[in-house]
Amino acid sequence: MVRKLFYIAGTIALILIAIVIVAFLYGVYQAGLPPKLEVKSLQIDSVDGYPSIIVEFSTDKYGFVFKLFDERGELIDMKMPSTGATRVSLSLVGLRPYTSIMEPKTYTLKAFYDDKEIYSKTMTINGASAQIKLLNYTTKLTVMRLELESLIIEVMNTGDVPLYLCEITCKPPLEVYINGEKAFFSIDGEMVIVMPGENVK
Amino acid sequence: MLPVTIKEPKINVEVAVGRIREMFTVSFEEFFKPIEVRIGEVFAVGNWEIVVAGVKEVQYLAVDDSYYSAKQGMKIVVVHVKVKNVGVEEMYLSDIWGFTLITTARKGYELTYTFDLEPVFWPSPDIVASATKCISYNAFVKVSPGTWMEFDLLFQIPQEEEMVELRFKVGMLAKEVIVEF
Repeated sequence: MVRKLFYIAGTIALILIAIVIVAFLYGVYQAGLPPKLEVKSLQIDSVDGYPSIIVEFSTDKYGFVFKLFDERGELIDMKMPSTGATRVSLSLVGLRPYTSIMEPKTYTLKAFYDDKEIYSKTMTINGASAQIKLLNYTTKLTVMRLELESLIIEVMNTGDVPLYLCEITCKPPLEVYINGEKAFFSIDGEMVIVMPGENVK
Repeated sequence: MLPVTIKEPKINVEVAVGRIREMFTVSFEEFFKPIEVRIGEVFAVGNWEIVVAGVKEVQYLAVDDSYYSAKQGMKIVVVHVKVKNVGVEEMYLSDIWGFTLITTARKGYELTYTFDLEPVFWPSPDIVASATKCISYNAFVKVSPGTWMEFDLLFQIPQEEEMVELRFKVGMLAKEVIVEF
């Protein structure tokens, strides 16, 4: 009787061990499977002064990394989404904030899981373009001297990336020439970011 | 922004962001338009109140103790001007400059000075009696705030021509004034 009980217990123990091993192996197998990544949208925005691509995605598993490459295949930015995240931003200009992309460029967004490519998409942007209008100007009359005090301009971004307007720190900077000579000036508000389709005075 | 001193009636403004460039022309023609007044009319320009009080042709001129006449075929024109410094600082008369007398021949004549005239060394009593006394314009004279100063502008023009208008400029920006006779 006791032997029979031992036999049954042993059998149960073996079954449990088998279940644990199978579960472990399944876990190992699952861990090795790449995540099911679905990129829902790619949008361009300005994030902390960097023109960036915003990736909205859904996934069943994390641990993958997004990498953004330029047309020469050089890595520009990379981000590993934290668990639960559904969007990440990748800089289109590396570590150069307030840079307006002024010409067409091609980028490739890739996602890697354990060095295995699980997503790739190539996109072309046209760059920033603008319509500039002189709306008004103010003058000051001192003793027989007329001074041009300010220019009020309207800038409409007709491109597809943010346009950064400032005197020095932006690349390229906003420049004003009076009769061909460079004028020194300061922008009201210091830094102006004109998003695609927006116009700013 | 700026400020930038405007020296011309029109300026070109170029706004650039990288390869994006837009050029605009801004007009200040209204500011640069000359002031047109008639003789005897008081007008204000810059830190001055000015009146061109009179104009006359003279045969003989008395400056200090010296006497002068016009050169052969020419005549002397004296324009009497009064100015008042309405500013808060002393101003040199050189702030009013560029005097040109326009004649019926549409020619412009600049100021003449006594050394351009014929000196009369031994004036007769008639010359002494008929000579017009004048206070020559001296660009280096200072005019205190709130005070009037009078001076004469001397011109020498051909006898067959008549004076039509006086033109001059005021200030660094050369605001032009036209006085019709």
